[in-house]
Amino acid sequence: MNDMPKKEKPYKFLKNSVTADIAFEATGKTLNEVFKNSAMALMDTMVDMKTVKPRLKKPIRLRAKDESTLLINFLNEIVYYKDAESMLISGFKVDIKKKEDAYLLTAELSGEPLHMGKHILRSDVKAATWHNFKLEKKGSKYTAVVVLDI
Amino acid sequence: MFQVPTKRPPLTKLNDYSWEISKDYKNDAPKMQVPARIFASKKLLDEMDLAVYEQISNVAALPGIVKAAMVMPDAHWGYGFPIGGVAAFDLDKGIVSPGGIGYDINCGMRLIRTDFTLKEIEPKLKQLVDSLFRLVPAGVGRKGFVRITGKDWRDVAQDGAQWCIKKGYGFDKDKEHIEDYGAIAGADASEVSDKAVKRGVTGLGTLGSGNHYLEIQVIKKENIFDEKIAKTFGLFPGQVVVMVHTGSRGLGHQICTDYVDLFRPKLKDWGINVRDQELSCAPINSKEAERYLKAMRSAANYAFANRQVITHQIRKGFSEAFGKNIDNMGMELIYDVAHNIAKEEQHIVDGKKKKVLVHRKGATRCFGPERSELANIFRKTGQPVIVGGSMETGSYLCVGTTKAEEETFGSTMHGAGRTMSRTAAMREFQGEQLQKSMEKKGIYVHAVSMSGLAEEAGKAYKDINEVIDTMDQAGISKKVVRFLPIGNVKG
Repeated sequence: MNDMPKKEKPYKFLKNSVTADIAFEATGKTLNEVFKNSAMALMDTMVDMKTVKPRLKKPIRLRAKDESTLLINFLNEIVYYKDAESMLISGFKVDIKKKEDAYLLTAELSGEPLHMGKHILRSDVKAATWHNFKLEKKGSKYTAVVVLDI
Repeated sequence: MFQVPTKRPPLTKLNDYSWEISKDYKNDAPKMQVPARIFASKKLLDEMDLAVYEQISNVAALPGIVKAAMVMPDAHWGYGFPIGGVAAFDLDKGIVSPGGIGYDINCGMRLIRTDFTLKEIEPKLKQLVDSLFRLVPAGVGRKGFVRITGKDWRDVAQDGAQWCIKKGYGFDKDKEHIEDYGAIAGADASEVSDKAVKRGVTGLGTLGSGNHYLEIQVIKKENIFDEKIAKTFGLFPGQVVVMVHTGSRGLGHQICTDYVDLFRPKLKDWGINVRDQELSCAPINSKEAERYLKAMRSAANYAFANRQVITHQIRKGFSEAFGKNIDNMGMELIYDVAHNIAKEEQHIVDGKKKKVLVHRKGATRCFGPERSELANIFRKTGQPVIVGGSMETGSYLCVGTTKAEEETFGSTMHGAGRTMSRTAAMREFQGEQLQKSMEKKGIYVHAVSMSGLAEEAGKAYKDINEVIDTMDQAGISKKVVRFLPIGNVKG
């Protein structure tokens, strides 16, 4: 007997998408969760996350006029820390609130500085792009599709 | 949302190497302004990603586009513009689109000759590749050894590779062998955000990852197709050369991100309707476009500087390995070309000379002889065109032609072009195995990432010979020499 629902993977990489880049689909029961899972897919593209300890905290705040722009900006912010501060992120606490005509994101990211010998590195991401972008809610499930430029 | 079609749109054959999608193909707003033209042999056409046809006809619907939206034979599915896309816009009615240039502004190729032969290199190949791996940092988030501060950054943005040469990272004569002498006019560092500077300046002298690489290659006698030009460039059978593929690192990526952000919400005010959000753009005569172009040129110059610092490190690596002076190994630059860029150039449109803004995204400029932009040394041969193949199959040096100026806004292919997505390649190939099988074939690879290596497997790419022959037979770019890889440094 097995009537337990299978735990759905929080994200998957899409095989038949943009040839030179990487596309992923992330899901979540809440907006916070789909943001977190998208960020995990992004980091998974760049590094084996098991090798990154969430020991340093990095609080961030972002604001955008809609949820889609907020997600793209959130992902690009994480890409930015990788280059500007050599910081790899593996922990994501995300809180999104709608305030009047804007969406506010407060997140506590955590990770550690890039270390060549320690971290198993994959492909560098240049940006999260708007090509084929999707963020939608169907029933009680959020889905995001994002193409990362490699 | 962008829909990938299930079948190819109707194509009209123009000749054996070019095909056209009529501008009636997309009649709903925003409708195609010009036809879309595909440069490909029949074989490459049949293998082309269906998304390419969709994307290039979306480009054909951008305001002020002239003549035709074009794709080169190495084209494949990208974001917004397809990779391998070429489009030129009227300076008054047209637009500039950061997505038509790419996140990696002035991603490009560099080719350096040497006096060494394969016989001389072979015994020390592994040592040499390992030392280049150490001297030229590769992979995710790496930093270079040249640290630049505020004033230096502004100088790099202005003077590009020439700044490096002044600082001792290169020979004075290098600059004649770089597109635009390694310093594109009209750059302005004040249009680059602090964020882009913070993200990017530490990357000077680094390769990056993805399809970026540094490769040691060899010329076989049977792979010289134009002896006269090869000789003019100082190339001979048995010779070893070095090829570099990289761009403007985090700096360029952030500039593209910043300006897509700036343009996207303003499209409505400008009355521009795009068929894909990643085609966001600004009217060329707007303040915003002017700011982007100044920032884009700053990143382009930074990319020239990046490849110049890497060249210095390569010369240093060879000098250490062979105990010779840096200037006594014949390690001169053949050329350096951008393949992600937009430039104002004069071309013939509707029978008249006209200045247009040419976007090349994964396409190389290939001017013919006598073109005034070229240094004197190339006025007889035409501009060198460096085409990087996959790390298993080889690369090419070609030269531009006058016909290219008539047909493709002086543009040609930039590489082999992918046929398999990265995700599919990663499932198909295994990095360690690939590394071993390449070593058996005589190619020694030192890579940061094994999964990254698998993504770059030769079989994930089109047949480069077919791509090169298409543009050679079409008379757009003539092949000169083919290079085979023997050593590779990868991110």
